[in-house]
Amino acid sequence: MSAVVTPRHRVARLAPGRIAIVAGVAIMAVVIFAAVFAPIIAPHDPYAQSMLARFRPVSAEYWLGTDQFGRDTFSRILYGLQITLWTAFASTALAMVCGTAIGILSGYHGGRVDRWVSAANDLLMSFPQMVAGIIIVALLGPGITNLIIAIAITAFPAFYRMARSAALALRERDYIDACRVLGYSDIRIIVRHLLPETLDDIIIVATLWLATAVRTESSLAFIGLGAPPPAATLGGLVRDGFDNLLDYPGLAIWPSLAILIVMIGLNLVGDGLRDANDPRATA
Amino acid sequence: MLRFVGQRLLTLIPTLFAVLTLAFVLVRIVPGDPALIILGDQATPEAIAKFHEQTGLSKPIWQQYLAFLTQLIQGDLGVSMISNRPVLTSVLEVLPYTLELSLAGVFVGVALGVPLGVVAARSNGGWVDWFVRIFTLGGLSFPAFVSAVLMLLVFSVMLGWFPVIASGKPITDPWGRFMSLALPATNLGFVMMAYVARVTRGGMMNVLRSDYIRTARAKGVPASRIVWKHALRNVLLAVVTFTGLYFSVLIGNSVLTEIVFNRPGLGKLVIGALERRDYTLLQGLVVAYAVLVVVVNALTDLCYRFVDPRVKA
Amino acid sequence: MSVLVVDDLRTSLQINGGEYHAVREISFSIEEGETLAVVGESGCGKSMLAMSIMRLLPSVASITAGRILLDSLPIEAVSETGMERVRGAKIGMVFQEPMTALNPVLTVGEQISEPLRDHLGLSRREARKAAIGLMEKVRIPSAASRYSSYPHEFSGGMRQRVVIALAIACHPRLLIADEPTTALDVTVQRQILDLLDVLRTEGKMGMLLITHNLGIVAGHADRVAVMYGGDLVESATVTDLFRNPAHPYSRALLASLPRVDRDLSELASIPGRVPTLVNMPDGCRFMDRCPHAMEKCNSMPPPADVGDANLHMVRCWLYVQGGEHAA
Repeated sequence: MSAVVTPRHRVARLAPGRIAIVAGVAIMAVVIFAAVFAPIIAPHDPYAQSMLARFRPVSAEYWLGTDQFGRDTFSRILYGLQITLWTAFASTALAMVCGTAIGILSGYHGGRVDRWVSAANDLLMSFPQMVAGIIIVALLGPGITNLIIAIAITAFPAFYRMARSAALALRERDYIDACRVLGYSDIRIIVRHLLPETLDDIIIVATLWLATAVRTESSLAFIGLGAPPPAATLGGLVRDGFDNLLDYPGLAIWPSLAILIVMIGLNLVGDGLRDANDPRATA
Repeated sequence: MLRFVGQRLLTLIPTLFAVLTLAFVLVRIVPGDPALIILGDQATPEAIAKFHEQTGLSKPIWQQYLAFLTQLIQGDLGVSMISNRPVLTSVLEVLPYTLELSLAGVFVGVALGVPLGVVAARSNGGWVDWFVRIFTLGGLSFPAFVSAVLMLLVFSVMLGWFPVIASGKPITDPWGRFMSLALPATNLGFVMMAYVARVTRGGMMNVLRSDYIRTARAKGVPASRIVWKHALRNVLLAVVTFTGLYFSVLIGNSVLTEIVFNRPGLGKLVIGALERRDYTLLQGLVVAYAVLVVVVNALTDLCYRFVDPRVKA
Repeated sequence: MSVLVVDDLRTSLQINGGEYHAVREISFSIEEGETLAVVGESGCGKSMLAMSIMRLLPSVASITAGRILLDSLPIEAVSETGMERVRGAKIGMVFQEPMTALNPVLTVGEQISEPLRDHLGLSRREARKAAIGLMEKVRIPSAASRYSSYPHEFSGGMRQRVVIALAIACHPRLLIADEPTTALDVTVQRQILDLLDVLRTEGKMGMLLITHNLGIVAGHADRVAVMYGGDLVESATVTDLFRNPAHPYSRALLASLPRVDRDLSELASIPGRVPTLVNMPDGCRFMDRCPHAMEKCNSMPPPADVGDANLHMVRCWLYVQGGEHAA
């Protein structure tokens, strides 16, 4: 009667996280596919204006109707996805690389440098992120590159904190001491030992921040601080639709749904990853 | 208690000082001469010099900084470059609207999020838990402007329950003021609710495993009171901490909410200042935001002492 | 009349489809005013036994057979909401860890008053008065002024007194004390145990004292039940057990105790360790560590009803069919 406990139940425990990851990855695969192949998929030129085809309803020709300049909403959403995804990935990558590098160095180095950098970071963190984003973009001027920099600055503190605390904890480990005794260079210890150890956590933070980056980008575009016209952005499309909300609500609804789908996809992946990595999470 | 508040405020001074300096620097690293922006490209050198003289821009930077700080200590945020109105007056004019919106938003978020998190924790893996999980995932996925636009569309335009143009009503019209606040506050609260529910659920799961809950069960306390009194009191500590941290996100969302619902407030003022390149107003607004965040952090600490008897003044 | 009768109790854990017996065929009873000590190594099922009586088992565990009679009330058949009226009213429980056993955000007085209002129907004011009375009874100095204090303002020993006060608040018939002094200083241990003795005698309560400390058993219990691997291997009066331990495990346990009249070099430790629940032997659970293990021990558990359950009971093949008694 004394049954042997197989390790199989550990897999089962990850199940809810796994479902979320699979669903999220599936959504994101479709979204990324649509964005990358926008030029092929899009039935119309997203910039082509047509005074004859203004405010067209949903039809076989204009799948999601047209806007006040007769531009095809569906095509504009596909191109908007391109900008949104590119900005989100680029800014998150930028924040991840800078935040992780400076965080690890700061935590590993310790001392006064660490204290000052941390204090500056806390300051950045305490200021309302959206307001900071608005002001930075406004000061840097319009343009996708500036947008990416602004979003990266608001995302920086999360990565910095994460990497720094991981480095602080690892620094005290015996094997890191052993590496030092062996005369390994700091760079080698950081790249070969600290970085791989923190990678899992960094990737989870990155997935969750992708969603935040999409949120920030679309919000800035909604305010009018996104990629400059005539580029189509999801937030900008909502803004245009908002101006015609009483008469043509569809113009605001479709791009809103597009943003929601991207956000839900990213959140599902981030949530699932976090769950699968949380040792306390039990089903 | 008073002594504690005093001490807390003292520790805030360095932070505040740093933010003020940042505000000062921020406005001065802007590319381009504000004189040219305001007076136009065709401005004569004399006019530019006169503008610099008037705004103090001709002085060395450290003197400007010193003047900026001295004015601040006297409670003077300077004068708008465009309208010549005192910045402080403009800020104080709209501050009540932003405060009212933020507080109502926090109220909605906590009032909805906490019960949702509690029922999810009680269900733990059951269908209620799954429903809350999916529901909050949806909540987390709404950028504030998207939910605002959709709410406005559904509740004001389609159903007609709330005024479409919900700009701030005077305090003498309390019902109008409430109706114009309801939808924007719900919007802020809806996004916050998702986070609060998750924080509550997680905290509840931990607390329900603790020894003192076992003690409560051993003395025959009914299950519902164990959850809603014994456990929830402890979970609220986490909720308070979270609310303090979340406030800066909430303020950001309030900017978007103010735009969609066309409410007066700090957010609208920021957008206006940016559009008109009114840098002194912008500088004043950055200071206002910083003070707001700092004050809220202090309030969170106070609140914490109120709910957690272990923290003593 | 017995305050508590446990008859052939079995409590099992369901983990990943397997069923594991944490408590196996245990029978004993506790009389009014009597203290039964349950001793054994950690993991032997002592706490699982206490939680079975309280019906506060973790979700994976359940009572699968047997009866528990509290003042003739069959506990195992009471509904979950019915148990809310039994716990705290008819059974009080004192826990091992006083530092974490009290809710940090509720006042001590509030926590003591709660069962008084729930079970005795006292008003807020009456409950307050009664709670202060209880705090005095468990010898908390200046009780009235400490009614509104929070647990963190109390020392470990004082907190345990609070836990005791709320356990005895409604004059329970049975008091279960699960390692009540393990986490406390030696001097405080003594005070708490003496206090429990006084309260038990005054309130005519039966007490189930769970401990792994044989010194406490000798000083504070009337009878002892020795548990090993979920089995009750021996039960007897304290004097009987200390003089004439019968089960090989009891003997080993007593031999590991330092005594004034013996040389320290004779102090023995028991080789091996308690088998874990998942690889519990089918037969006698002590077999692997027993110096007297026989062929029979491997195949079948020894019968549970050897000897007189109320006098000296031992569960070992050595005592079945005239096995030698190697005292």
